[in-house]
Amino acid sequence: MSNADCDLSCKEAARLMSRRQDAPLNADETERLKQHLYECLSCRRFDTQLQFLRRLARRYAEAGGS
Amino acid sequence: MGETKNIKPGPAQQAAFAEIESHRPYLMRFALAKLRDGAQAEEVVQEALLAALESIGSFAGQSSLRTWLTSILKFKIIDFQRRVVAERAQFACAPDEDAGADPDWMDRMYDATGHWSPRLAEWTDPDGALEQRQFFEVFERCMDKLPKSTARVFFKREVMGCETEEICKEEGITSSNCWVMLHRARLALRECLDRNWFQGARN
Repeated sequence: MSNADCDLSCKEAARLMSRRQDAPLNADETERLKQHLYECLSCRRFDTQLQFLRRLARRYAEAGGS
Repeated sequence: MGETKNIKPGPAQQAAFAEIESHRPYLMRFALAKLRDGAQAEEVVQEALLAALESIGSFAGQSSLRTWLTSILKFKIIDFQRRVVAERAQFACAPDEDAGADPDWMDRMYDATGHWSPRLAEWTDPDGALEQRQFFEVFERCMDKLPKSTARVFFKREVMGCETEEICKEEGITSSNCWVMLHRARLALRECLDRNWFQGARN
């Protein structure tokens, strides 16, 4: 499973992080994403920013900064 | 627009009116996500705002004003849809209008090996941004830049909090199509917020 051909690119990782916000990933996807996040600072930031985007949208629905 | 009252409003009512009115752009987006048609959306928002003004006394302040206005709007939208359905069949699902946009913009965020290029920078004080009205204005402008169908799907999923299955059904798309659209929206919004807000905070 940790062979180089299985390594995710950031592009694929980003797609999985996004999908994870809407539906659970399967075990293989979860494992590969975990591996990738462990090694990739940019993708960890992307994940944090995705979660922030969700909080922003919910806050926008409640009050919109007013 | 919409001045149907013949009673002279007092200062308190005028303040309430201004307060309610300030949520109109948000309510328009909400209505547009549901109805797709600008004129229809304007109509229901107008009805909702008038209803809100009439019953502002019953607003107990347990939820935010925006939440309260949204619940009124939801009823107005349901009413409206019932009326439309009674008149004629629902208009068919519009085809995705994303095609006209630059199809390669997503690929340009990565290098040839599929890694971020440039690398992503950290966002400084995002929670602080949530306290600022200007930040929400930037967010709105960023949503406006999305292709319409993408913006609608994002709005339903993240702002209205609908489940993807529900959205797929309403939009007449498959769930993988839905995920692609959501992903595009998130990538574009992330980029737009980064460029128009967080980059400035970094410098």
